[in-house]
Amino acid sequence: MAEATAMATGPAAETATKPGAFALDPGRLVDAYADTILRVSYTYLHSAADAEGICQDVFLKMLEQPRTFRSAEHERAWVIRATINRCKDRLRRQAAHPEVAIDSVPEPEAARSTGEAEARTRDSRVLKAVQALPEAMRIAVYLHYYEGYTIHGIALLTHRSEAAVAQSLSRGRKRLRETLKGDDDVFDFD
Amino acid sequence: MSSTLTSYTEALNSLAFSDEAKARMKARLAAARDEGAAGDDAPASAPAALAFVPAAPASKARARKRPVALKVAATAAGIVLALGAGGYGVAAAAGILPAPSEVLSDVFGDGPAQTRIIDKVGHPLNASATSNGMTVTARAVIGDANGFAVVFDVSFDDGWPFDPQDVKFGVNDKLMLAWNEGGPDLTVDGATAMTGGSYFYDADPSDNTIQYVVNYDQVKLILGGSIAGRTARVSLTELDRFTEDGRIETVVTGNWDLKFELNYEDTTVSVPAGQTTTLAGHEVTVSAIGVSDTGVTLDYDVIGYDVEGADSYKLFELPVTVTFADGSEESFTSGGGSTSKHDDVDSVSWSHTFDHIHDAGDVVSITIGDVTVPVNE
Repeated sequence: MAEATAMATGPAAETATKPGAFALDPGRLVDAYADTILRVSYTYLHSAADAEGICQDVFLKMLEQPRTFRSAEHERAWVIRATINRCKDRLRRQAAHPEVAIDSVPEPEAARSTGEAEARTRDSRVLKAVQALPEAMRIAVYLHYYEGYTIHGIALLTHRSEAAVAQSLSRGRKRLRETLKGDDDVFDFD
Repeated sequence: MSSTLTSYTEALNSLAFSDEAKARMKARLAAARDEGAAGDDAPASAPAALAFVPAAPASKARARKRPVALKVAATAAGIVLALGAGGYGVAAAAGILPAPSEVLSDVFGDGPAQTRIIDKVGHPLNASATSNGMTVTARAVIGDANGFAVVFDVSFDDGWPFDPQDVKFGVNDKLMLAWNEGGPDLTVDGATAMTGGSYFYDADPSDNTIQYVVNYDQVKLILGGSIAGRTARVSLTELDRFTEDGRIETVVTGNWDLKFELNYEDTTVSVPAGQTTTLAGHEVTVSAIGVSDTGVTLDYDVIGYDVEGADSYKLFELPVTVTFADGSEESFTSGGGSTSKHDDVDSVSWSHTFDHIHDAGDVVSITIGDVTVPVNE
């Protein structure tokens, strides 16, 4: 993973379009970002159940308050930041109202639509190990190794200092190395 | 033999919405867009998205009128050691004694700018620095017994080289800007450690000035005493922005050195303590509660919670909700602070800064865990 750029690689490349071609079309938004929102939500909340609602919130925000995105990466960064904010809102609300037990809340539609994918995903020992990390390490690992952001980019996206992000990544890597010790896979979170 | 990174990537790749779910979302969004457009008087030629009726705010807290546009996030200002708050707090270490240069500059006529207090808020006088066309001015100081926040104005003489509105992010519309430097950008004489963060926002998009806020909710002083009256020193060298294509770009380099007195009126309201609750099933006894214009501070003991080292952040995860006179609430599950352990008891000093400044007199109650404590009765 190159450290020199904050620009997303891999998944981001799928959404690359010409500058200026960022029409607020629901179809394009869902195709480009729904799965990203799902993955960020899963990384934060350990569940895909709220992801569809978060998608809706983020996309509506984009439609209600149009803003100028001059590149796919700019738009993508905004979507990730908005998703993180909504995940944090949900965590706060859950903690503030513990009397609203999860069992008492109607099951969201997303739970059905993502159940199969989630079941497959949970078969991954590595993903389980990442998900077991504390929140700050978990999101840093996700944004760096999956989304391709540099430490500086993650710091800006998560409103943390570069040193704090670097520390989270370092500690996350160390914990993963210990957790995955003895695994047949080559450890390459470096 | 595969690689762990490949395994992780493939697992996440497989986590995706079904085509059915995506079709459902597209239909809902299209319906919402069409409904919004149909119910609006906007000209027919206007883009549909521009004709949207804003949705109801997601929470009461966000719907509340903001008395002062001071909003807090956890962008770190300076960094040595993270304490509590799940790693979101940032502690900036400062020298135990003032550095020789600090003393000399004070002695030889370059003393700190005086700060005048108006309505509890300190206003530094003539605390301003200009370099390469950009001016940084310490505008206001507010705080309580445990910490403080400083609001700076940042402006370009010839206008910003980009539109600050283009770097807005998140529900609170903070700006994706950062000072690029290796250490803390604000120190306080006599402080041994400070926990807090910083962020940029634009209070008035029509003017040429944006705001930079540094907030430290926990300041430890080597000899104790009050934060108020001490000298704050700020040294900035480079402003960076998050560009449209996702890269980091230097906006301007220079030297902005400021020095001013941290004078403000402590707005803390003490609340009777002694309540008991639980944290992760462990008994918690609250020994002190303070509510100020800027946030909440708690001292509490946790009995028998066997966490230490990297897991010590769990001691700060006591859920707290503050309820205001207008019925709105602010809830938080994490704070910053410090802990000390004696036998089986962790003594925790916890603090959290409000999303924006309130009048402490407007706080009706504070709920700590499952216990609600009246305030200002």
